[in-house]
Amino acid sequence: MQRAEKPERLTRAPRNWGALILAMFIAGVMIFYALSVAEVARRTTDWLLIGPVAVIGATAALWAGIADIRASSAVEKMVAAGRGEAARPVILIALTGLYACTVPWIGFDVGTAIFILLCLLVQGERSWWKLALASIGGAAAMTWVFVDLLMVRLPVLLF
Amino acid sequence: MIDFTAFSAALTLLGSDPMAWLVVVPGLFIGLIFGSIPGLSISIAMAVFLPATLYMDFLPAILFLTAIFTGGGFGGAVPAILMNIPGTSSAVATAFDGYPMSRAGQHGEALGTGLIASAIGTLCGYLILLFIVSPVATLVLMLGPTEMLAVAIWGLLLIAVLNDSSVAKGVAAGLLGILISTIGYSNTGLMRGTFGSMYLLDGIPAIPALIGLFAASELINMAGRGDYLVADRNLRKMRLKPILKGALYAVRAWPQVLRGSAIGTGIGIIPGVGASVANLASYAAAKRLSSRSEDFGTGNPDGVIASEGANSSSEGGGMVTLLALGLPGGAGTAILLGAFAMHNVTGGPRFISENTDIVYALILGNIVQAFLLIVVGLIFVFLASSIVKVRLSYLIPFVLAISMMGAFAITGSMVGPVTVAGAGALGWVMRRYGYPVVATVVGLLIGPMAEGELTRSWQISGGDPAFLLERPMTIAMLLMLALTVTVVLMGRRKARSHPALAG
Repeated sequence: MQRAEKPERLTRAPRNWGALILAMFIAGVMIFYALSVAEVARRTTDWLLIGPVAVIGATAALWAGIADIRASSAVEKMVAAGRGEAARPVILIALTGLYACTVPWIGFDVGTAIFILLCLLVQGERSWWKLALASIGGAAAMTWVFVDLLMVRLPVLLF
Repeated sequence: MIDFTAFSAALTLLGSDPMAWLVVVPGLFIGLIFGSIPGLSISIAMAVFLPATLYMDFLPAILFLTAIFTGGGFGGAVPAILMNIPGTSSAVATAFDGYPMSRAGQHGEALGTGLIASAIGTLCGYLILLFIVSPVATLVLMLGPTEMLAVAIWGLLLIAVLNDSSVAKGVAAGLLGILISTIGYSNTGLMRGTFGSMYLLDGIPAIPALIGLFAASELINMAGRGDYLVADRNLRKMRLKPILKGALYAVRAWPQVLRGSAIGTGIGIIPGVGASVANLASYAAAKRLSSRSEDFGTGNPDGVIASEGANSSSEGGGMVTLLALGLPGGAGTAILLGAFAMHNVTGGPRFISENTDIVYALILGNIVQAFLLIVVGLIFVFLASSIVKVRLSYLIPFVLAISMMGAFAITGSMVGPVTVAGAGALGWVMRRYGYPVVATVVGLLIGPMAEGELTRSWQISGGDPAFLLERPMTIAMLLMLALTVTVVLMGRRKARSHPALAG
């Protein structure tokens, strides 16, 4: 009996609580959205798609999350292959969010230059002339293409 | 099927109007450029250049716009293959195998394969259009909302077929996409999920969300994972030989190209579905029917062929409904319809019967465009493939910034860039925990159509399921869906119990 259990233990990965939290979050958002629609719905067609989709989606997410708590090593290996380090991507996500939220005030020209500069710094670029050329030159070129060539009315500060 | 008198009149018409040919090459280049810039879709290019056709005759004007359409059809494949960023929603499936090929240093082959599949796809789409434009006009009118709903459900089932993680994750991710697509004002005037924000009244913009889920999340994921897209320095060199090798592969794989083209044309005919579903449906069919199905998603050129053959041929399919019914199947054909109106032309069965020579001239002009695409596309591809020589640390912020600007161009407000940022973060977390981002994108694209058709089906039937018994075509489609799901689930179970068979 013990001999049969031993290889089973070896193929198990550690508990994956992060996956369960994400699944619960997705399920929670789906149900919350469906309830908010049901609250204001006036007739069946208002929730006809959203209600069933939210229930099935939340169930599927929870199922996936529970299955992931103790996923087999093969599944874990497959998922882990898509993961790299978390620190730099998290900083990039924050920078991207900040960039999107601040451009209405600082414009795409200045915002893009600062965004490129910070992204390059985060990714280890230290040469000052490369930083200056890429951020200022890159931002100017992109803004010119969109504003003057493609006639897109981007919010800009200096251009 | 073909009116030969009108056919010869069409040849005379094309031969006597040099303007009809002068506008084609610039149109192809414009389409390739716009299609290859993430965020700038083919429809934007067509809309931007629509006023330029005001002083042209009807035939050159439409040929110029369809050249943009044709060029953009392949242009979207370029960033999909080189950066895993589908330039357009019709190139989503191209990225599945095109990008792994790029990472393995086979970017030239992937681009060459995609180009030829795209050109043959366009050619097939218009050849099929030539023969079926009249009879199909009658058939399309028979599709009701229940059949359209079945088509939408079929699109959703692709999630289960395409997802390699788990069915539960695929379903959850796909349905999340559908729910996101329902945010904003509904067709019945109900405000949903806006939380009082006026920016959300029109809902979450699909293309910026697509850019965020695919491009931003992938770029963010790349940070700290190597210096270049292609790790091996020798594989980063650009040569014409691999592009031609890839092109030759697509020619040799003509049965796959024809299958993709047939699927693309068939789906393109159905209004509202178009290239964004055609490429996924064709990819799923190719994966299921291939003897090397386990290679799909890891860099199988047949995946690129399936996607590009289908999305390019769907243009011809879309023209069927535009010409036969005066009904646009998507954004591109809607702009063509606008061009029709600008020139005081109304599409429909009457237009076909009264102007058969012009209809044939349009089709023949587009057939020639397919051949020109090979030449123009080869030059473009050679220039575009230099992207693999750029360091990732530079590529990431530049492409993110271009995507942000492109998203602003689409929405005309900060909703676009904010959507890209939010969807990028969501996509990154989903990737990290093995949720298929593509399923969310498919849900996002199919959601509005599914809801519209479900509502119409409910209103027509009065909520009585017995209504379906009066729709044999719907029942047949639903039975085929059930069969597909059963086959897929059985295949998965078999693969799980015999891992060696799964590859």
